[in-house]
Amino acid sequence: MRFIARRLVFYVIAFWAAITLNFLLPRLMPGSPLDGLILRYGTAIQNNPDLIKQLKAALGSEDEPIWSAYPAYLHDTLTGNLGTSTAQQVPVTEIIGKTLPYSIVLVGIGFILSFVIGTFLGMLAAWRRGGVTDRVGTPGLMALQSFPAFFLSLVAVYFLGLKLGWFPIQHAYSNDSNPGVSWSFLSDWFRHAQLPILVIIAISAGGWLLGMRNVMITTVQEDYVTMAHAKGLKDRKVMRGYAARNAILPPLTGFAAFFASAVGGLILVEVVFSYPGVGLTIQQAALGHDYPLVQALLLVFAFTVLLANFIMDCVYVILDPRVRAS
Amino acid sequence: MGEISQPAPVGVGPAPARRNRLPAMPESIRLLMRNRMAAVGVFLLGAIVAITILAPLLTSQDPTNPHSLPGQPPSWTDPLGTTDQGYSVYAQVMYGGRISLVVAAVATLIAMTISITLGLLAAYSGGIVDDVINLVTNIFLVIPTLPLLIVISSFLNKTGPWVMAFIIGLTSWAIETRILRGQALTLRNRDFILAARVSGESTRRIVFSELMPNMLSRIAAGFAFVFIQAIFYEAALEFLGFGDANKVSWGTTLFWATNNSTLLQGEWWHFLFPGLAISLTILAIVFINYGIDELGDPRLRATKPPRPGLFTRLFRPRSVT
Repeated sequence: MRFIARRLVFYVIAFWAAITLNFLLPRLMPGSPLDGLILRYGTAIQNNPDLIKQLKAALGSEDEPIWSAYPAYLHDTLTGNLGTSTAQQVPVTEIIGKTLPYSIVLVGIGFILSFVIGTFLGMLAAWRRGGVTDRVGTPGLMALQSFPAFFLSLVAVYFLGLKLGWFPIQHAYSNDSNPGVSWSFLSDWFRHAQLPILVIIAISAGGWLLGMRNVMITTVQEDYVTMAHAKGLKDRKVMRGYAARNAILPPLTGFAAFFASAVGGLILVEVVFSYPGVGLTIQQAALGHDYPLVQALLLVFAFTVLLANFIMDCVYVILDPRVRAS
Repeated sequence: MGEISQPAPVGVGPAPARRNRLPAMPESIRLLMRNRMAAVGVFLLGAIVAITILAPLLTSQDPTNPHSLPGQPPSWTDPLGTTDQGYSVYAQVMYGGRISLVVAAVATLIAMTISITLGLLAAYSGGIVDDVINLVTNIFLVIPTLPLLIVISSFLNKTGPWVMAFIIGLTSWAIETRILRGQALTLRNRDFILAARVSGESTRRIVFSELMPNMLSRIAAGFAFVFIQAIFYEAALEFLGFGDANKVSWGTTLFWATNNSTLLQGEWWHFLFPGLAISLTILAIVFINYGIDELGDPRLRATKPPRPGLFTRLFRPRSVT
């Protein structure tokens, strides 16, 4: 468990770095973000001295030097006091609570499916190099991957949604449906999530395929694979239990960087589909200079990535006995 | 990481090391062009760059001057249709690459300068320097880039092309730093580096004349990879509305294509062509990168090319015979 402990320490440091970055950004920018806000929202902010105080603490002002503002900021953030949205005048935690579940469903289903599909195809492609999977799957997914998420979403919305009418093209549920835990709402929600999830799979499965394929091409040539063949094991058993079992580890270590950039794809997909998750919210908030909400959402993104990485570390420990032993 | 393209000289002493300083460039380019995918990529990228440079010769229309009815589908006068403001989509796509490509190139240069410097410095210095660089790199790896870019753009108010190149460059160096550091670490204890150190060469010389030439194939791949990222982030930021919407680039054309629910009215030409331009640029570099990969890793290289045919010529990865 030393491995897990070491990773945990790193994640705590990384999260602290994200908070600190959040603290420093508005203070390093040219001009005063607060003046801009007051100019923009005018009376809504000025008549609310509490909000002004909060914004000063979050964005910095001449009244308070950095070294005394920083501990207060850290304390506020860590106790979940993330401030009030300047545009909607409600606590940002409330907005996050409303939008995050929608995104988690998209990301969760989308990334798990793309990992399973991509890795499986990568395994097949490497096992039969030049076979059907390798000839069609590899270049096909590679080509799909070079379409940016927003473009692929637009194409999907236009052709699959608008022209063919197979999927709903906007929002997370129909206008006449009531959010809540009811069968009709959940099925409606699922119907709306299908196309965005499809796009997420299309943009991220290729990375897993290529990663798996390129590692497995070398493991296929290892002695223990030859040995397994020589023992007379079935082809499928050698592929899954020997070659793939050892090839899956390196792509998993690349997960950190992959997930951090894949989150960007989520934002773009949500914006194109007007899907009311955290991605659409951060875009709207940033365009409207709703700084408390934007900053809180950056932390949410950072935290999600760290959490996903931690889960992956645990998976890694399960898959790699060498790490478990140390 | 893959094997290095040029085998490290076995002999000790300055003479073979000197020969190694520039691993026969014509040779690697020849190899690159012999790879069909890479050749297609080089050709495609060359064509795209040529089109953006020669844009004034290819269209007589000003991309920022409304000249006909808005929202027209492709026709003889407007081969790619017109936008909601009556601009020619054709002219916008031809000119649009200028900002997109230049911003991506500048951002790549910034990011790769940081990556090479930090990666080599960390690997060669070791100790506390390595630890600190490694920690900072790993932290930047887990902070999601697009949300960070969005937050920065939000504070900056209006993000012109230069500012955009700068912030993209400053946020895209982490992955390559980690990869280059890893490769430099494996090279560090090879005989030819030890020999250079024993023969009393300066650190700077060892890093730049011994270490770096042996990493050229990985560095080239890094440039390709970061350039793809930069093209993507530039377009994404503009598409999301954080760029200067009055400037013509592929990203801003896409931004206008989704504004005012143009898409929902069925104006497909407005988003399809700038989107294809971005995708083709990325695809070209992916192809080139594929060739660089095979250059750097002989195991991926095929012994005999398969029978040619148009489809296989473009898409078929080599099979081992």
